[in-house]
Amino acid sequence: MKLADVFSDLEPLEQNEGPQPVVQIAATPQFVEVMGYFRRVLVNQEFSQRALQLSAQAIALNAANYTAWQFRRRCLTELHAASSEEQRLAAWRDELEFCDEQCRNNMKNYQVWFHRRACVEQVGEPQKELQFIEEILAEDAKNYHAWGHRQWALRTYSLWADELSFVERLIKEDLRNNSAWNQRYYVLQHTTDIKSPEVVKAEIAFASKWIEIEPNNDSSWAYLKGIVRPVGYSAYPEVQQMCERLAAGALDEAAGPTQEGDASKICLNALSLLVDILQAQNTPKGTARAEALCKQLQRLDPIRINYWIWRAQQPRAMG
Amino acid sequence: MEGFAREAHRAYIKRVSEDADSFEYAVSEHLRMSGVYWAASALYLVGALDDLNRDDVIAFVFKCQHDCGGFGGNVEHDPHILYTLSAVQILCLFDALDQLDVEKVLAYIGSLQQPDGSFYGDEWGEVDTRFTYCALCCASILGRLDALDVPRAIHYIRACENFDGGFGCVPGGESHAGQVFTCVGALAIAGALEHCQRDLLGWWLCERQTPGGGLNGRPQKDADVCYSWWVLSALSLLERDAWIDSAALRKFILSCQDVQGGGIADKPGDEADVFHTFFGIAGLSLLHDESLEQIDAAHALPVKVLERIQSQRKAASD
Repeated sequence: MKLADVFSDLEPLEQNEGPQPVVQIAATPQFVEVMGYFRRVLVNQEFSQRALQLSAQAIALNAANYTAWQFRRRCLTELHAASSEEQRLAAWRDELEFCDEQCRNNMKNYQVWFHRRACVEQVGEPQKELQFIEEILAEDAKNYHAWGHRQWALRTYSLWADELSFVERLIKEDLRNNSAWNQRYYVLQHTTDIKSPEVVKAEIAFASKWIEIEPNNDSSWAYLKGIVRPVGYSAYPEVQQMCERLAAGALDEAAGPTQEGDASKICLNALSLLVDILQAQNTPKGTARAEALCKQLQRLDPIRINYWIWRAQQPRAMG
Repeated sequence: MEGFAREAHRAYIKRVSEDADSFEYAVSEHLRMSGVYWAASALYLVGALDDLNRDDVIAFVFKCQHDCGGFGGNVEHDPHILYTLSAVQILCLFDALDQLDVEKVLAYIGSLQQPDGSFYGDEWGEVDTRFTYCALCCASILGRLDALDVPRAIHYIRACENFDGGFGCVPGGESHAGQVFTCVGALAIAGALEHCQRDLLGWWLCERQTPGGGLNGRPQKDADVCYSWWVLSALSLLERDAWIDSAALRKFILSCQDVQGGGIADKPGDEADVFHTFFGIAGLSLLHDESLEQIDAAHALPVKVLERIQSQRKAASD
């Protein structure tokens, strides 16, 4: 059925933004038609099945139209104000299904994820969410919205049980997945005392394992530092030992003149953390060595040369 | 290397602002308010604000205002804090704040603050540190930070800090340069930058510079012109902007220009859009390009505009 027939009782409402096109809208005839009727049902506050379907068309034309998403929630709420609980749940389940498709097609859209949360809250079956998000992450492992939605579901419905193994699986797939490293921290923060010696030791071992496999990975190093820095490096000498070992190769390289491309072979992260650790020791020997390392880093990491000059003069910056 | 194609950009912005048949125009209907802000700000920075028709723009802005005081992204669109900030910023650029019912806007923004200090984006309850920034920036521009519970807002931002010193959109959200800007910007506006770990966060931000000179938003991501603004403004507020290689960044931004057609793209070779054109120009302004007006890193408005507002406010209270 044509839109004009479905809405034969309504006049489309044109976008009216004033005389100058600086703020006017024109697009395909279909866009103009759908949006014309949609503006009309908005103004009329018509909460009906046909209006709900129309909003889906508006979303298909532009999924970031936050007003259309809001309208759907309002519409569903009003339509089922007097329905049985069963009917109401069925409608929201359908909506969640509609959302599945929209999330897949518009993975980076804020509105669709927020709408999804509202649906889950209505339907109350959060277990399925973890599976759904896993599918999304299989396509885009760093999708910010999907991770945010996952954290919400985990937190709101206490679904922590299998999350660490899920995260480890993702890190196995891509050890540079910073979102997965962040998620690991998030889970531990909510399920353990992240500053306790047992957790710190276990996480040093975990991060070190992945650093040994790939020493040039900012994410695993940032995680390691995030775990140990707050409790102090001195109680965990294994961190310095690893840095010394990984930096040794770098220092050999650094003895000679650096050439284009050398930096990728040199473990800047090991050198950088070594500077943090040595400076935190606050001994004349450690400070002097850190200063020498900063000089090396000025040469090895030239794009951040000003940072390394500054670090050499700030012995307590990262302590 | 190509220089800054000022005239081409100027013509581009004017063209896309007026070409209502373009694809970009159609899909940006819901955020037209922000589009106008990006266009007007970019033009102001290149000294050509007059390319837009002041009366038309102001009329449009007020057509988007609702009785609650908030502004929608376009006419007939629901109010949202994102577009409320854009609307206020546009009125600032065109020196038209005197037409605004300030108390009404403040009442709207204040109504979105939650007991935990966070802000909803609109009545539907999405929470994000972007909205905290919008609220504080708006109230600050209007000279009325006292209308919000600033200590609680700071408290919420601190809850969004991560182990790497960065910030996410909610507590636990991965550090992201865009969110870092909103959190650092909000703290700067609140006079509370002491709550950032300046050196740790400064290092995380300068790690965002890639070998090509451009900045990315998260580890392992590609450089994108929009981060020239988000990363650099945050570094600048933290007084750590000297840590990156400015010349390399400038070169990257200029390499994303469409020298003939005008406009700046997200990365070299891509198609230009207004969003990246503004953020590219704003980045160059932060790099102290002398041919551009200076931009304020916290409020994302030209320094001159903020100075004018302050002197007007002072004159009104004297």
